[in-house]
Amino acid sequence: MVLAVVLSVTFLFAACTSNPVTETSQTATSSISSQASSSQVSTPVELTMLGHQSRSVIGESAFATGFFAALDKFTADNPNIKVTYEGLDQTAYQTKITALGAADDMPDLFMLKGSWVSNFVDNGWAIDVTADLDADATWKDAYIKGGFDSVTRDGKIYGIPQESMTTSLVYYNSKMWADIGYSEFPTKWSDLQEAAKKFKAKGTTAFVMGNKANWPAESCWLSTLGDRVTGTDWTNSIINKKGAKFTDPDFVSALKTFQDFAKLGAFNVNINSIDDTEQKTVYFKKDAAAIVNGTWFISDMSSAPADVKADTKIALLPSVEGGKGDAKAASGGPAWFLSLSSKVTDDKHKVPALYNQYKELMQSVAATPIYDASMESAVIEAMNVGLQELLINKKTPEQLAAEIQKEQDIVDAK
Amino acid sequence: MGCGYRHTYTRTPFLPLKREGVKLKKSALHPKSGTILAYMLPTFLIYTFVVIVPIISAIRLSFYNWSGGKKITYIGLNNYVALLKDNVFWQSFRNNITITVLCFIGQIGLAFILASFLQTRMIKWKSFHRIVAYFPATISAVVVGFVWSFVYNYDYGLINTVLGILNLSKWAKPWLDNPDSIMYAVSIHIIWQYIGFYMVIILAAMASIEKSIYEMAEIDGASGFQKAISITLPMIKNTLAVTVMLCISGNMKIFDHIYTMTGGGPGNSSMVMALDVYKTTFIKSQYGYASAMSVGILVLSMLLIFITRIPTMSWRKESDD
Repeated sequence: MVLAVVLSVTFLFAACTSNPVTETSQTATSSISSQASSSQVSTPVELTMLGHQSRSVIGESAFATGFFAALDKFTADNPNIKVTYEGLDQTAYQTKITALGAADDMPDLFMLKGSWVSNFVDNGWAIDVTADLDADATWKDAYIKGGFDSVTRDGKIYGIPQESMTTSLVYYNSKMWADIGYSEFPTKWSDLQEAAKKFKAKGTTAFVMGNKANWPAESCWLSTLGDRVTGTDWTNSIINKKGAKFTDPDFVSALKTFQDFAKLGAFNVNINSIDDTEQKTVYFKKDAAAIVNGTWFISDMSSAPADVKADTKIALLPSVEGGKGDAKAASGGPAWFLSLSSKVTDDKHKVPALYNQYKELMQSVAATPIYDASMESAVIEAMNVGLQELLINKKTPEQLAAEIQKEQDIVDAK
Repeated sequence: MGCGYRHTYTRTPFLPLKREGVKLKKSALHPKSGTILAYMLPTFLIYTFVVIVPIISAIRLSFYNWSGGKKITYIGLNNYVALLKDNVFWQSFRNNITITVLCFIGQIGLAFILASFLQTRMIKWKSFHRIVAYFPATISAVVVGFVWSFVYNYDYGLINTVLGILNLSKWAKPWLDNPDSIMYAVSIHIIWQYIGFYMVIILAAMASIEKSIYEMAEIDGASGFQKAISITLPMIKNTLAVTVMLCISGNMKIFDHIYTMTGGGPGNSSMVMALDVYKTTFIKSQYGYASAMSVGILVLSMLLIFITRIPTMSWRKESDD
């Protein structure tokens, strides 16, 4: 019984994708909640839920707006189900969920990041929901292709995707790029390098990055740039442990391309001491001509000054000559999932299906895996820390590749 | 045991005169050993529960491979072998030593100088100075870390803005981005926060020195500097030994300041041991290895304190009580 209730709650939240258009997410929620309310439960049930979204960003973040709208509607339609939701910021959430797991005190529902899945599954903290998904094919097929990949281990699925986004979009100030002669964002890497040199000669920062928390370099840049050079097959081989290594020449070449771009002076000089919030200010003040960020930045843009808002356009990172990757691909897909704690062990119940919303750009773009949503967290940590040094020219690509591979070997040996 | 039997150097009106072999009367000033133990028991229990039990638990966990859940496997000394080869840990240790040395010179050295100044006749409003100097020690380390990272900010920070006003913009640097100088940048706010703390301790120690010694030295023609080095410093040796130990132990486990200012970056250039343990536990989920690291920190800190106590052991033998 509890499982049924919990599953229906899950579907409700899984409907909300990170959308720049909040109207569409609200239509989705209203269609679901009417279906969910048809499976009302009579006995009172209490559920605990832990997440990394907080109510304070409703209106700013499209995902939070949709998520909490769904939660409130569900609670209103099902008065017998009480969901106690606790929200924390991402770093605090990671610490807390790990501590709760070690103390064997997991909440009933929690948000799971793709890179934690192996660890959580090994420790038995998330339960397998494959059977429930298979029982309702319309529900399962409604999710985007490959949506369950990050959360599947040995053919079993351990969570439901709750948001789908891309981490790697180039937001560029078209006026500033037109001023140096580019009416459109470059589609070839060599053109991008030329543009970076022109910006440097003019004294403007081409791209701003706030890498203090060390994930933007890997999540927003390298996940896509790496794919341009290595191709998606290599990434999938790493994730599925099919023999690819970080020391392969393609990945080292990707790191070198990234480092060479930084050596051109394309980035701001304080790249490792400002964080991802401060980088927004640099772009809004027109101290930088472009910023590479994820879908969430679309909602952030609503607080930009009017001229920057009007001039900003979205593009993809250019193709790299000689690279094996598809130029029209961007790292994206579900990075966060909703999982059920293994403590919820009740019988099954048929639940209604949902439908996702696709973004216009993503319809013509293939999603490639986001590194920190699919690879092991210890490996990602080694990569992120090393990238900070790579970008300021304190480490060679070969050294970094060797370090990342060493960490992967430790994880594989467990 | 003779706990009710002790030498008295001064006669007190409350107690009868001492005679060899006579036990003192039990009173509020000389409680029974049982009462002493009873008063100390709650503190002792809390200390055991909060300090001793986690240490023993960490030592035990360091022999296992554990990622936080039900699966826990015994691997013997493998964690320690890996620890000896772990470059990041030893770099963090070197960073901790750097911070400790800089703080020793900065905190205790500057505190001693400030305390000496405050003892002179020239300074007015002594208690105001004491309060202002001690004030940073009461602020949370997280707040200090954040505020100082704004001071160091390349675009808007206080340092670079002041340099710009003085037309010295070419000296403006991204202070927190250079791995070679970041340890110095990071040590400054740690020193700043605790100078007042050590100053107050040293002032208290200085207050117990008899004034007549200084007067005699002045008659002999000693300058202020000579008075400080030859009179004050030797007489507060024991307090200085305590401050050195506090400085070492505090800086071996420094965490909040680094975490809020740089997070260990860029790369691992400002990583410290406690932050390494935190990342290994909560980001890499390697609880067993992190426990081994914690035991490593304990052993290294105790070793350092022991090394610094060797020269002071001869001092303590001189003044026995």
